[in-house]
This record gives sequence, C-alpha cells and structure tokens, in this order.
Amino acid sequence: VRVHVLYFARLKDVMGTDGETLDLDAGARARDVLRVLETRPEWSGVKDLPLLLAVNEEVVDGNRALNDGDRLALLPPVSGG
Amino acid sequence: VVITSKPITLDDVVDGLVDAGNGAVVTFAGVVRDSNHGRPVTRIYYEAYSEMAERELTRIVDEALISPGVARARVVHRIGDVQAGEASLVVAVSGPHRLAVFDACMRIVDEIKKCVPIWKKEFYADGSSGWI
Repeated sequence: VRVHVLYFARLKDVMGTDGETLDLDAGARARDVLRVLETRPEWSGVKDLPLLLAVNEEVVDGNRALNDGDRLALLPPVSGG
Repeated sequence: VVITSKPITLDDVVDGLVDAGNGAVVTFAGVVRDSNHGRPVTRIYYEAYSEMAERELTRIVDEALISPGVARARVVHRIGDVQAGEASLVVAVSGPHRLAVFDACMRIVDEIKKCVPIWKKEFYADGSSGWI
C-alpha cells in the first residue's frame, strides 16, 4: 500500500520535510509506518516525542489498517490557543 | 470557524453574533504574551494541520451549540507569525443568559487547547526559538 505521511511542528523540522510517500507491504497498519521511520538516523531527534496518529484527519490507534492513498499524519502534542 | 493568517479583531468575531434574542455575549481572546517562564518572547509562529484543525474546531463548536442556553458560537484561530500583544485565538458565544454562555466559552477554549492540531514555536528576544 502507498500512503502519504505528514509531519508537523518539531517533527517536520527534524525530518526536514512536511511529508513523504511510503510504500508498505500489503496489510500494513498505522504502526508499521513508525517501524519504518524508527530506522532513520534523524528519528533519534524525536524518539521521545509522544505522537498521535491520524488517518485521513481522524485520530486512530496503531492497529488501523492502511489503504492506498491514505494520509497518515504524525501529530506531536498540540499547543494551540 | 475560521483559520486565518490575518490579524483578528474582537469586533469581526462578535459582529453578527449579537441579536435582541440573546442577552449574553461572552468573548475570549488568547493573546501572545511577551514572556514565557521569564524569557522575553517577540512572536509565536503557529502551524496547523489545517484540514483536521478545521474539522476539530467545527466539532467543538457543534458540541457547544447543542448544550442548552447556547445560541451561537464562533471561533477564529490565527496561523503563521503572531507578534506579542496580538490575538492568536478569539472565541465568542451568545445565548439568552450568561451562565451557560460563560460555561460554553470556557469549554470551547479548553477543548481547543487539548484536541486541535495546531502547534506553536516561540521566538525569543535573544534570537533563539523552540516548539512548545
């Protein structure tokens, strides 16, 4: 499955981009995206950052199955207002 | 619900919310402070996941509107650079009587701070900056 991963705030700075497209094995779940990213050297800068996952603008847990074209957003703790 | 990169004035948000059937209008303005934990702050950069933030803000306002005693509600959140002393968030709520309206305004602000995907990066007078 091909998904669009979106980065925000500190995560965007650390990853050096606001998002990318990832190709994952069929049957991949939301948490599998984190598995892929955890292997990147730059990830060490955010490994302690608690992240919420959202698929197509809705908060999901790591078990959520991914479909082609899904937008998976990694959300650091929010600080609006 | 509006997310904007332009300055927000209280009047813009309250206009159209006031009518003779509703005797109470409560507004909240969140303003960028010029210091945080003793560090001088010059501005805050707000970043939003706009599509989701709009959806969440709409959900929060819709929830407020179904509570008794609440007639109308508006939320405007700024994104981009906001200078110290400028409003980053304005919430306005109206209803027949004050109690439910104060309460709804409070709940809307609390929910915004908890659930809406918006982040701020503070810029300090010494030239440094950081996400908070």
